[in-house]
Amino acid sequence: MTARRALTATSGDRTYQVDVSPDGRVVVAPAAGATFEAVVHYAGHGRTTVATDGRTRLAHVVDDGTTRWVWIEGHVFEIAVEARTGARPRARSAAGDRLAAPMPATVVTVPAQAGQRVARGETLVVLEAMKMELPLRAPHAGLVRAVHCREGELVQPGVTLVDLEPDGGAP
Amino acid sequence: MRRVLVANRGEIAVRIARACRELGIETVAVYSDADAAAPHVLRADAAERLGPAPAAESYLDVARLLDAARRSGADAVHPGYGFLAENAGFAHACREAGLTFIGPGADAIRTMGDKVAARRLMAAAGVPVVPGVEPADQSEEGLRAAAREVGFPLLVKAAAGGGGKGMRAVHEAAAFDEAVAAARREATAAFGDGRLYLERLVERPRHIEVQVAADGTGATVHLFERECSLQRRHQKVIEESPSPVVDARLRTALGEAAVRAAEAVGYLNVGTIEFLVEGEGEAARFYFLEMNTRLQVEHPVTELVTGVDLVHLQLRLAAGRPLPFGQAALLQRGHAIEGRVYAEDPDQGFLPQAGRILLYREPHGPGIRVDAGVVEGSEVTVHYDPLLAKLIVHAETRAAAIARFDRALADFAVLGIRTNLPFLRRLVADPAFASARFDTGYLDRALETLTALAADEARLEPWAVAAAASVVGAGAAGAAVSGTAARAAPDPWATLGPWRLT
Repeated sequence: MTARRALTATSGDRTYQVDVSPDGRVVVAPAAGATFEAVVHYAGHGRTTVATDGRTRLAHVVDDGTTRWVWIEGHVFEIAVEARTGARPRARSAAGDRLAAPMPATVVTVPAQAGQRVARGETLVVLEAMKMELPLRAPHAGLVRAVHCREGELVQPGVTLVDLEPDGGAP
Repeated sequence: MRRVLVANRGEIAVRIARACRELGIETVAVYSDADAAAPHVLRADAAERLGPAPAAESYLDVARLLDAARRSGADAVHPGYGFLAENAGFAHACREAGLTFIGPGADAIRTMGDKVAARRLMAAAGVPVVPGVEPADQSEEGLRAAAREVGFPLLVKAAAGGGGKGMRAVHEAAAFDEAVAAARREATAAFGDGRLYLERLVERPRHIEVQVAADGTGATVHLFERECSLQRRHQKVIEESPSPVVDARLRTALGEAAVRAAEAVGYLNVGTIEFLVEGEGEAARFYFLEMNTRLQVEHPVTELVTGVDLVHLQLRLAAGRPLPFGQAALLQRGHAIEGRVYAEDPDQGFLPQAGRILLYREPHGPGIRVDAGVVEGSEVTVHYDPLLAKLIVHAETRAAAIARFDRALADFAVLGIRTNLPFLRRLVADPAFASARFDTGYLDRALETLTALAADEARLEPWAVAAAASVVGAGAAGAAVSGTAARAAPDPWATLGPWRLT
């Protein structure tokens, strides 16, 4: 029998405290705003149902080893779930701060410079893969801490190209 | 024609194999090492390995394809779209090898593939073209002189181009040299040909194309228009037929111009004439953009409104048979919309994504069609185009088709790899889509609002968190849930406990 579990869930830059009871009852508390309560049942092959008093919804859930992918009514969420300990949970996922190439690619230009302040959506690095130029943009406003690539370089997926510190202080 | 080699992969290879099977024709699939167990391989009667994953050593290798055709006893080749579909050398080599090439003649492919030659031919045939200059002097100075002649804003295009590669809009002289360098770099990489030409930039145009079909007896018909203005960086995202802005007068004029264009190049089989349309109603004017001498990605919207199976038609025409209908027999019925489902991340500049599809559920229902090249468990690689599937809907009216499309998008689940499905939903919900007030630049301008976290998404996030937190340890097929939830629906991997399989 599984005991009640205290978890922290992170979706984008939002963090939730989650308590899961052995009977499937789940309490989801956001950092601010109303608490959400539901009963979750697993139906097999990634299918779950999430029920509140007035409404039951289908959700598909799969785990790729690091992230839970959840589909509800055409919306997709990538959620990191970890056991809640005494420590303060991470406010932001690491992926938001270290920008990496999603595939093997060639660096065409590097508009970003270390020490530069950038706005959300600003192009930091332009890659080329599959004969297409692909801009790597800032996912949020912040300070470019370091640039780890140069023009003409062939970069591999997952290797950090730019360190971006979000506005509002270090994570 | 008894055995067709499909020289392609992904959704279009699956779709062609299906059409062949319906006509009692055997199919031979070809594959690279990355695609050995791909859906298009499993659909075919036989399969031949081409080579390693890179396209240059597999799907683009003419010698290996001809070798595969010979080994498998194929008597015809269908090129699909992309890869070698518009390569005149490939069409010629197939025919030299005694194979029926399911497409137009090599001369038509060559002429229409050379954008400069195509412009000249169209102008001579009385098909309107965008005013422009084809500089014989391709030096920087020669191009600058041509730019002064055309005037700004203008468009730099690759002479050998297509699909938006090697194309740059330039609004002022100061930005011209840089745009030329970038266009040349992209054109050389994509086509091995860095020649450029310049055109007046048609401001806020619509991209409307006309499907044509021609047989060997000299008969040519058009199968009406497709509206393809919703593009992101010149890549089509949503296509529909009929176009919500084409009236009867413009439809007739576009159709006649398209037939004239196909006849001018001596076209055989099915093809598409792309036009830029500026203005509306009485003031609408159109210009020849290019001809695609092959089946288009968006051909299903034409199939749904006309009831004509375009791949069946291709096979019939390639076999030397006449068109089974005249122009008067063709009608547009209802409204069809197609959305392209790509493995790409809208929040990261639409970067193509690679990875395994851990969960894949297609929508079903009346008027819903999915042409897919993947299944659950498919590995999406960086080697090929990130198109996973196409969702196409058909309904009585445009409003009904939009509602059906939105519902089908909402029922389409792909997990494990990021796709543009959520982005397509936001696009369909955009008022500009419902009111049909968009041009080819609309998507790029509206990107910021379309990629922002939508209200209903924010509202559903706690539901998603609840579902995510309840699943313990998981994996693609072996997800398990704590407590009674797991007991209510026993899953062997969740309930097996400490037993060992022996």
